[in-house]
Amino acid sequence: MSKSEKKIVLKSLDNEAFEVEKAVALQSQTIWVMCEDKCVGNEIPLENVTGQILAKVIDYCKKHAVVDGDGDESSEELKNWDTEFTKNMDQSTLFNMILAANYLNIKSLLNLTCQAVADKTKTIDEFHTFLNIENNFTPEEEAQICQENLWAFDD
Amino acid sequence: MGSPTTNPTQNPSLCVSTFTAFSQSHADLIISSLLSFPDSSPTSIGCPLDRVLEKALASASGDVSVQDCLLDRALHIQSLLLDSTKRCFRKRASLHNSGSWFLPPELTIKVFSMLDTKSLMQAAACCKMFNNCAMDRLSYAHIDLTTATKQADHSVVCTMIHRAGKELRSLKLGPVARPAGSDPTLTFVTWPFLSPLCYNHGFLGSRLRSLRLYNIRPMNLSSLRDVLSVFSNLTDLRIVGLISPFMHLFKTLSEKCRLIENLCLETYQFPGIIDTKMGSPLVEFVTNSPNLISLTLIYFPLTDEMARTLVESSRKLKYLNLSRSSTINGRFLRDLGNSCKDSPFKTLVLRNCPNLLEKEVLKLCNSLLKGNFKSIRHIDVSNNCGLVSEFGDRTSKPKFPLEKLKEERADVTFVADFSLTRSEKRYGIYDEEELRLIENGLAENEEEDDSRFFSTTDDSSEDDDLDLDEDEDDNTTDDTSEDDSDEDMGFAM
Repeated sequence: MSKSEKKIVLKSLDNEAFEVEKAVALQSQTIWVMCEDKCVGNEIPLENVTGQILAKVIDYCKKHAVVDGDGDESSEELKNWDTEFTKNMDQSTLFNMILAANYLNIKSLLNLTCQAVADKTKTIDEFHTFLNIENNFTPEEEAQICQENLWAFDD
Repeated sequence: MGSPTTNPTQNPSLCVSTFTAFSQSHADLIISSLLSFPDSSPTSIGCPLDRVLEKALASASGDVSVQDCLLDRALHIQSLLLDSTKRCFRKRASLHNSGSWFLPPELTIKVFSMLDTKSLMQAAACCKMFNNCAMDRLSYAHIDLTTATKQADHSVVCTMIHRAGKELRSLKLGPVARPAGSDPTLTFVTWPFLSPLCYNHGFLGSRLRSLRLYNIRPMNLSSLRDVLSVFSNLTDLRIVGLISPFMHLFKTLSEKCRLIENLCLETYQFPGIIDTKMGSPLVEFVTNSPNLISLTLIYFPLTDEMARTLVESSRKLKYLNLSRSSTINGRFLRDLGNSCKDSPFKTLVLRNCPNLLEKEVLKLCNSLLKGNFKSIRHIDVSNNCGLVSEFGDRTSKPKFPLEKLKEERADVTFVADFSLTRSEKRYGIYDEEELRLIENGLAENEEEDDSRFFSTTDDSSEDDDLDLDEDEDDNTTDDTSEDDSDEDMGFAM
């Protein structure tokens, strides 16, 4: 296989082009299927992902491509890397990562990002603040919901 | 909204007829003038209302039914105004939320399924959209009540299992950390709590993949065996705080739960020792579990011979953790070097084993240098109070050829830390941290003077539970697990 065939170009929604190793890109089931069907050339347009998010997705895939290939590489190190990776993402970046992981069908990244959101939100206040969600219940409705699951609101 | 504003003294039946005559723009005008009412003081709109109402009541000239009617109408109009305002408020908040939360329902539910169940309940009370998603069966696929041990009683567990229905995949119950000075009679959940999983020939139970029970008291072993027998697809089982005699458990497991990959048991007490005769059901389980890759038996008084038999009985075993075993001295490692030449055995953890001999660990090092244990990648012999030296005392500075190991067996991470440090991690108890917590579980009960771990708590379990989260964090260290690298470990390579 010549060198050019091993590379693949991913083009984001805002026309940013990323050249990556094929092994890196193929972690995305979506891209894998596209390549398998030979329905694309060497350049794959990704119409749902911005360049900023795609860059992060590629970072993730690069890291995981190396380690997966190695087999015996420390999974603890990888786990720490994953934790650092999502640690400082704000709410909207995380959501966009979830959507991108879902669209590109990268299962481990989808799990990681969903878990990151779940980890950052434990109490009703955190749902309101971190996720920027407003309560749209009437006081009666809210009281009824709390009453149904009283145990979860009892500190 | 168009509220009829006819003369209040008129008969209500007349209101209806005059309503249609009222133009919409007129109604809008009245409402907007009401809204533009200056609100400098709370009485500013109340006073005129009082005046008008009293005047209208007076002009009803003592006719009680007309007066009742009048007041009812006033209340009705106000409630219409209130309802409308709430609708408006909800619409605005919903609009805000849909802009702020742009995940589709299926992804929202995926996030929700990763929450512990108490947090899921809180999410359900956040807004209507969350409430809808939080009522989806899939949101309950992983029921985790370890964060609500005080509140989650039998009926809560059953309700949650019922909500998950056929989507239930994993279940975690009970307090992960055993409160210091724990009372074995303490009841967290009463025992029939898993019975819904057995209904209909275990229709729900057969879907369960992972079950983790922490410090459930009183432990009813025969009930446990009954429910385990319907969990035919279980791959992951963790029980913390087993009380002897539990050897029959292994019989049930090898007969009914044939797909187990990860087994982690911690015993609270075990009289005597487990030799190959006593532990034959355990050996049988390991031999007959073709998928078993990880075996963790904490505080199990296994003999060295038994430990060797366990490793040799399994073809797939990659991970063995026998931490806190009071009987193991490490002799079994000598024989293992040869016998697990071709096995995939990767990780060995012997943390806080009080009788582990320095001499045996040294032999293990030399065996590694000779090229034995080809597939091994991680060894952990850390101990809070050092290893037993050949003179019978304890040493925290054993002479291991660490430099040489590093050069010649770079593929192995050898951890021998004799002052275990606290974790700085704040969120969540991840698998390894949780395991480390269990490994440390009894160390501080046995050694009262070792106060580095559990913050001193009194015997009343109620108070202990409150401190649970904090304790969990404080008690865990970052490193563990099959493959970790240990930068913060004293002798880590």
